Amino acid sequence: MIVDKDTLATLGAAAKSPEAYVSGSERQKLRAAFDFACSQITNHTLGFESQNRMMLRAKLNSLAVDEIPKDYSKLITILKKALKSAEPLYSSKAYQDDENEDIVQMRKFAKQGLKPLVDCIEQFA
Amino acid sequence: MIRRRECNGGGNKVGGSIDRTAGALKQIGLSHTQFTILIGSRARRTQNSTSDIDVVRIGHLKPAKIGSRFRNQPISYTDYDIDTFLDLYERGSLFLYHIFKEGKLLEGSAEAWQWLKDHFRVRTDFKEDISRNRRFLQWLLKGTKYNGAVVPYLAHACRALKNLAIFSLAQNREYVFDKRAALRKAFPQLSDDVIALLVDASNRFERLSSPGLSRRFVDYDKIGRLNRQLALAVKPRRLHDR
Repeated sequence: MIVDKDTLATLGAAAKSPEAYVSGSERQKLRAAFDFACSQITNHTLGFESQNRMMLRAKLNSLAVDEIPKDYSKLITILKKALKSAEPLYSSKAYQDDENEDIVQMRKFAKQGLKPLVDCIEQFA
Repeated sequence: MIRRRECNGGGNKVGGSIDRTAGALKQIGLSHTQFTILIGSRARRTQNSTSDIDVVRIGHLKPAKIGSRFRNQPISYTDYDIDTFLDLYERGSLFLYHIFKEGKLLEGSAEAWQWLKDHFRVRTDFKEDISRNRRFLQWLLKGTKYNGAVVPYLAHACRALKNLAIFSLAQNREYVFDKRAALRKAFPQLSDDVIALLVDASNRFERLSSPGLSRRFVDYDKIGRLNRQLALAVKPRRLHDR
């Protein structure tokens, strides 16, 4: 399994019902699950873990085509897209108790980033 | 000096209250104001060579004017438009209390800032925030999410545990905003080693610039020991914690 069962289940549930993951502990879970999944994918396919979101993106973008194992090239392309659309996950910080979030943005992320990623990971199960 | 006033309630928005604060500011000639505030270790003067510069911008997105000694260091911004700020203000946000208590005003009307500080009432009921962070940590501890994701795992654990610490202390009217100090005070059972590991990972993961990963992070025995300490820390201790 490329991504652990519990993390993948959280991503799958959020892809189906993003509205439930807009605030509170569910949102916290989704953000963490997405970070864990990104790191687990690169660890499994490319041999490095995420140390920092920005560095992960930079590292993925700098990869040459021949550095990505053929079997995983589609997954890496989808992962890059998901990372690009993940901004709504990171729009609040620290222990802010403001839970006014943009549902539209979360739905967009679920549709464009999360769902294709979950579907692709599941193909490797 | 902040004159701390408190209010009960879970932070529900009171109809028209934003207008009241905005109206009061206008009446004393302080409307349309913008603020830039330095917070965190730099404001507390507890920074070290790797500390970020944490800045809150209210009502604008202009780069912060910071001293020349801080130049070339990454700035981490938290931004609020004026309506969001006033909403949080009326709800007695603990984060705003942190800003008022420890923040250093870099730009904006000192008079308006002082007025806001003097009239701020921090809420006193953080049970929901405590349960939310506890639920998250319980989820985090299930399974082996750290496999292949050590730094993100530790960073998320640190963030939630820090939040749990800050809210739990605030529930008892103790206000500690420094990460390490809050963790030590709220969870005396956590060893210094574990706190150092969590904070180090969090800094690496959240920072704009970050040094490479040291091999010592990839030590699953260490994470096993850490998880056992975390499991004890997140157990509800009092009735209101549940």
